[in-house]
Amino acid sequence: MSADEIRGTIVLNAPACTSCMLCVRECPVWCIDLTCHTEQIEVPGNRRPRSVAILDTFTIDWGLCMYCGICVEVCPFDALAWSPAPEACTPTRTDLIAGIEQLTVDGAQVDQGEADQR
Amino acid sequence: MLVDSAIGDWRTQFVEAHDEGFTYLDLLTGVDRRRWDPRTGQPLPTGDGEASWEFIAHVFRPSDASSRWIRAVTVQARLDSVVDLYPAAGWHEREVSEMFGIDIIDGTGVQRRPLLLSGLDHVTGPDTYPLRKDTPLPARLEREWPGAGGPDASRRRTRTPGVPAMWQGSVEADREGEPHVRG
Repeated sequence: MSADEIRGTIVLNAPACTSCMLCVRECPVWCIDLTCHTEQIEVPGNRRPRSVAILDTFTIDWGLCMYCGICVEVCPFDALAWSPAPEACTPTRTDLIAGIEQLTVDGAQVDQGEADQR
Repeated sequence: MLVDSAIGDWRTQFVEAHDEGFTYLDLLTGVDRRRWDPRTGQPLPTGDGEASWEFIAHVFRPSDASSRWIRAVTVQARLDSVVDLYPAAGWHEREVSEMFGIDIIDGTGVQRRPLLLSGLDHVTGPDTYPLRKDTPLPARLEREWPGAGGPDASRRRTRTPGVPAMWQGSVEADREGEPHVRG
């Protein structure tokens, strides 16, 4: 089975996330939470700086997630993806709330993993 | 569609079905047909010819595996019992009674025994009927919608999805500060 057919768990490519909130708002079980802040970026040639959202925290509660994949489908920047990694298994329910570190697959996207297998 | 046909016509449909060989009860359940103003959450009055409650049953005829749907609608939350014709209805009527707050009328006038929710009054409060549409899901009221924040939060005035207006104001904190559903 190729990587794009496997639904194991959901991984995040944090640098690609723009904090657009689409995954948070479309999740049917409210399992995704994110915080962000805005920074002003000077753009050469523009009079005013551009406002950019910077992701601070991103969590998925695997205890609520129903693995429907709506967040993966709706992300306009492909920051969320399916990974063949097995589901989280933790000693307590609160440990099931995964942050950016746990959601990042060895710092690489799934397609990178495919490249490694070729 | 007759209104207030649940007392009388409901049983008549069962008697006829039973006489015609539909002796196997598949399911008996209810639907909350009441309506609320989507903006304010205030209940809308039931108009003439409109129903507040709908009851549905499905019976099978073992001889040829055919089936029949039985349906009735009412304004009042009452339903005739058919347990004398279909003993299996006892369980379903208890469930309808408990989940929708429906009075089951039989010869004894005795309310059905609690089925599933007995002992949970300390959590849900008295007279909580989970399948009524104005009974809120505590998880949806206790937790703020995570989508309310974000970089454009100050510009958004969207209603929280999945939380109808008639659920607002139903949760209160008790003395210990734990939110619970007000019946």
